[in-house]
Amino acid sequence: MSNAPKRAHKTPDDDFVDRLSDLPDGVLCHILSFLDTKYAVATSVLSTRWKNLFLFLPNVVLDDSLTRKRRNKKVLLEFARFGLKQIMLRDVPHINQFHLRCSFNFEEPAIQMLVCAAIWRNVKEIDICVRKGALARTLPPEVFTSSTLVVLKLRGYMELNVPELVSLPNLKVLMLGFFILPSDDSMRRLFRGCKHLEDLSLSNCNFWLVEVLDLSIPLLKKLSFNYPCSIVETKLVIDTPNLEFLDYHGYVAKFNLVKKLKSLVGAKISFVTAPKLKLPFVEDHRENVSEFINKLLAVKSLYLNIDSLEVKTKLHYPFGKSF
Amino acid sequence: MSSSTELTEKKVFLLKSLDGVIFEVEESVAVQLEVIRELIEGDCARPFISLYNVTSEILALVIEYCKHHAETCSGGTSATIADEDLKTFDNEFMNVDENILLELCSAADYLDIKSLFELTCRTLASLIKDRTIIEVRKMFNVENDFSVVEEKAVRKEFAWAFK
Repeated sequence: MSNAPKRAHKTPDDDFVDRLSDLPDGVLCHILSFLDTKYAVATSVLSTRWKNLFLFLPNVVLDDSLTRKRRNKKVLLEFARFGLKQIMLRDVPHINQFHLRCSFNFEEPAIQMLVCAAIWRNVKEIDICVRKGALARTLPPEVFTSSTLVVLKLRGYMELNVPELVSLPNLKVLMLGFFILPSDDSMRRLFRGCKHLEDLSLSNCNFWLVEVLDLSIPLLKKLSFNYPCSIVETKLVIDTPNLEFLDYHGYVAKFNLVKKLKSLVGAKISFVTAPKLKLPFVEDHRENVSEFINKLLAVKSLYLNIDSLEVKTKLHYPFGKSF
Repeated sequence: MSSSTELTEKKVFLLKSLDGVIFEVEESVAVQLEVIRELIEGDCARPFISLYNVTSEILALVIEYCKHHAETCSGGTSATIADEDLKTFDNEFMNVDENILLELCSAADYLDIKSLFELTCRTLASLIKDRTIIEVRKMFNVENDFSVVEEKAVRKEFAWAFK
């Protein structure tokens, strides 16, 4: 085998050949997909060859922090127009991911239009994070009836409106952050419409409207609660025979594990107390917590943290595991 | 290195570059080139495989890359150590000039070597990212064929993308 030097010598022509632009569209788009949208779009001014390449990027990532320096209505409108153009004019019928980050006042109809367009283009992953309030009013019902959606991540800071019809047959990952969760029925409707859900994460959600959160999700493998708000009076019914990972971080709730979680591989339970807020201590839920922990015993790896040593010693867990 | 000392003879394949140089590679290396794997499976890999789009200089580098990856993955070391080793190797491997980088990228695309394709594309993206449009044009000899009016229009349309 010949041993080639690491660095080859340039031929005299190399100084004049544009090998980059000679690469096929697919390769150039793949290169651009490693760049933030702003930098990818800026390449459109390199030469006419590059002018419309951004239209073929597999993912549509719109992040308004990129335009932060020029916050005015005109720039935002251009930004939304660009997003729409990128979704509608593309040659490929699918979009892998649609990411939207809006930290300031984005035109609400524009968000709705962009989301609908992405769904129309058979998007597989939606990840939206918008400023307070905007999403609840503008999240189109089409989001809940997409047959192609696999991942749905929403951070909205408002009440979640679940439409009458929910049908997300391919959804595997659902992440809701900073929502006021709606009534029991709405939540039940949402989960029933996600027959193949495997990963559910509720982060910083407010449960004050939910009396019973019925998590009867047959195929669920991963469940996480992070800083649930006002959850102390909510009954959490967990009926998930295939659950492998459970992560709970926050105040104690009224847990109701319907069956033992036989498939559970790892559990990370961390209860926090807030005496100044007069929230119930773990000891007020002693029986409930004991029962809950007991049902987790089949787990291979358990991390348990109760935010008070005093409480910890008061609880008598009938098992010899150290934690 | 050499397979002659081993009791069972390893299968080798011959790859012929655009400029006629023939390389002998073991099966574990050859199958990393998806194009060649298909030929091997279809029993069309004899007497040698002609690769019309790859020069000997680039093919030697591609083989070096695949060989290192094949050896590291089958070396029996733990996954984390192998990962670290490959990362270090990849970083050093990408220490080439832009022209070779582009040819490697093109070859990885043509020969369908996923990991090398990802690596070269990511490296090219990082070269573009840290540079102004004028610097990118200069670095890769991209000729600006816009008229002044056209370029102005593009900059205006995507004003938010330019500081």
